[in-house]
Amino acid sequence: MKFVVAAVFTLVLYFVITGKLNKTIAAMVGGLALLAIRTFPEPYDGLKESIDINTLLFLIGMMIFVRVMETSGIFEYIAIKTVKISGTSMPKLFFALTFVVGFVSAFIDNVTTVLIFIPVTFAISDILNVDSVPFVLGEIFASNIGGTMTPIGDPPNILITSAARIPFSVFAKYMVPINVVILFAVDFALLIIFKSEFGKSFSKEFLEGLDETKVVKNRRRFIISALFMLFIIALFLLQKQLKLESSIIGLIAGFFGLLLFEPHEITPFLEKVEWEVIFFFLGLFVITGAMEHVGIMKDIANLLVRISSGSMLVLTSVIVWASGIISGFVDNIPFAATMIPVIKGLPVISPQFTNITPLWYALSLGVCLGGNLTPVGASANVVGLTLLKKYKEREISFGNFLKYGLVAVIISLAISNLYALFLLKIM
Amino acid sequence: MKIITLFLYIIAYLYIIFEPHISSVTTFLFGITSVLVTSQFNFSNLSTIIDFNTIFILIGMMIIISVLKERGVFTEISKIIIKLSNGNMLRAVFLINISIFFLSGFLDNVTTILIFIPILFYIADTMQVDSKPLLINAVLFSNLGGMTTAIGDPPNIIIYSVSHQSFVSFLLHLMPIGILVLVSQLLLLKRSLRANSVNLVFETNDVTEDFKNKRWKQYFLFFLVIACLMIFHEKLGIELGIITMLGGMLILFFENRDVQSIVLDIDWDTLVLIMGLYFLNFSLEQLRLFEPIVTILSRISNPPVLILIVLWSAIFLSGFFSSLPVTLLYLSVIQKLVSMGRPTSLYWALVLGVGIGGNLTPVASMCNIVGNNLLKNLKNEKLSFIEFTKNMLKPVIISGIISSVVLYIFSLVYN
Repeated sequence: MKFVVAAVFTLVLYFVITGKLNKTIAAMVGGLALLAIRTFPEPYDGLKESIDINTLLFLIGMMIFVRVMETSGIFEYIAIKTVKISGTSMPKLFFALTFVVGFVSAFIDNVTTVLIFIPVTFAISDILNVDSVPFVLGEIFASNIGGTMTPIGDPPNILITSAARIPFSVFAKYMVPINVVILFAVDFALLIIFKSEFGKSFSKEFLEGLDETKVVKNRRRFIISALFMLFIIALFLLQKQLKLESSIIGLIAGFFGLLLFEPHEITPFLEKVEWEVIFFFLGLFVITGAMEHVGIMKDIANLLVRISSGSMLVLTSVIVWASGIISGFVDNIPFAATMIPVIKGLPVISPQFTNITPLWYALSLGVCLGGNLTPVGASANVVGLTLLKKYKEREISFGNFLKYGLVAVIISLAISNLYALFLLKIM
Repeated sequence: MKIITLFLYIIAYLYIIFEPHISSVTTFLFGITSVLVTSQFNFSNLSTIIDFNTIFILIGMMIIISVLKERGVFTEISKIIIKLSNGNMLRAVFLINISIFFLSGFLDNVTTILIFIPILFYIADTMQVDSKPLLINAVLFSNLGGMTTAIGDPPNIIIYSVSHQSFVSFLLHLMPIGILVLVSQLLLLKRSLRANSVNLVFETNDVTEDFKNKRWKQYFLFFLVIACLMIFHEKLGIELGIITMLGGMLILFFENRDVQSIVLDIDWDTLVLIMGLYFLNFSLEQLRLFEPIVTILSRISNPPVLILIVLWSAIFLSGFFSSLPVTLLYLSVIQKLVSMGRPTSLYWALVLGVGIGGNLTPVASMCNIVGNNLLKNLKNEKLSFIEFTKNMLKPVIISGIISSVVLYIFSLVYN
């Protein structure tokens, strides 16, 4: 069974990487086939076990929400405001946008941030008539880096902090500064790579010609939309106190917004949800769930321990790099979920590994930042690139993304590695 | 707590009845709210609230049918039927109604109506007979046909998934009743058509003209294979939802299509409505609001009486409140009753009740609404609510009586 699951995973990965088949269909057929041949004793129990329904419903809700908000012109408004504030220099604009994205996605899910900011970016690049690709890449990277900052920024962090019982403020204290440094470094690298694009500048008159009030077609609706958006953000910030699952907030945002603004056009908005992404996740969840079920994930984790051969220094570095590279290809949530029990059990296995606190940070940095490696490394990448394809008809191939991703990930993981070793000293 | 939930439930229903175009979203929102109010919501038990099997079957079937429709499989089938009728009107109408009946067992009812009603109207025009009885019969057979298999109709899929009855057992229990009703109804139709028209032969040439599309046979074969897999799914040990979903994905795979292109043909409204209803029912169950109904019904010690009560109340309730909400409501109660040792025939009574009741009024099921719209758009005629109900009352009562008798015989046989 192990062999079959691994073969299905490899096959699906092959199609995803080469793009020879629609990746959603490949993932769904792979996942369903694994269910049909009874990888799990009870198919629907397997489904229950492997699908992160919270993530899926959250995505559906937020996709509808963003679509409904879009029609009010609020995103164009933010876009023009950002452009006006950042002045006439392209690099400045780039830094402004990526940092806004980074800090927003520290609190809101990365995918939502990307869903909110990429339309803004398209609006800006359309107005300024520049290539949107560097911006999209920068924002995807920024959203993943920003998501690493807090326990609620990225799903693996939720898992890790709840398993290790690290409070919000402590986690943020250690993670915010290092990720600001990483974001700076990655932004700088992108700036060098896309030097020619960023060399352009635009005239001042151009800026003055922009009028943010023009994009607001219906003032009343704009104000209500803004208030509704603030309400949803407040819900996210108070999520812990209200004890609401993020998917519930997402669904409320989407469906309530739909009812509030578009009661006569429900079906078109349901159709606008990126079902392609949802079904891709569905298939992927089943496949990675099956890998977990037959013990492939455990083998990988055990291997990591063996490689480090008793040294805490080596183990920390191995965790940063291995989880970074693996979660660049595989969904980082199941990987983080498998690594957590392994790390927890380390003090029992050998006496050298008693202080495991730094390892949690190493794991979080690895799995979250590694997501930047490939187009499928993190949900934000998939969604961001889908948007790029849908609205700009630009497709970034797997290999092409990998080129940029490799630079970003090597920089981030190198900095993370040093930082994790530093944490090892002070903790 | 109970009052709030009940209140939410009632509002959700009022929306279903009076604002059907947004009812899916309102039901969903009220459903989530009710779950949040009644219990600490936990996503690990979401799969106990929402039945993945049902959702998978629905999505899978919608994808398969949409591709088949696009490939002209159903137009070809209708052309063959016209050809077979050889210009004899009675034979044509019979063949069409029989195909509506059997196709509805596997396709969604609206699809069959959309395929065949234009042909029926064409025949009515050339023969100069009233198209309204033809329409009413087509709608009736589509609903009844949908009732006869486990996957013919969303309510059936839901009941199938909960009741743990096999696909074959659905066929064995429901098909005979469906066929009895079909035969009796066709005899009535024959008499009325004979009485109203003199000429019984019409021209078939212009309908069967272009027979170009050859590839449709492959798609039809694919469909037959999937249907066979469905029928034997228990022997194969694969869940029905996984077969249909796999079928849907495979057909997209062979077509080299992506999911997004097919999304328009998936009926999200129904899916969202079903999920909302699942939520609402879950919270009603949590608060044990069904308990009183269950205790009252469990006092009835005579199984046949209980079965008849379920059947007839379901017929009339689903006639007015549309079948999906009624199905879920009854299902929670029947599940409890069956677990208390009442006969599983209650499930068949529910299937038959909502299936037959779905004919009663023009708003009782999607298929009725679509049929009426077609009449308005294609023929510029109108059937009022009362006229429709009056015409449907007789067949509904006849089918109800037939079902009662057969269910009674079943219960005697089991005893």
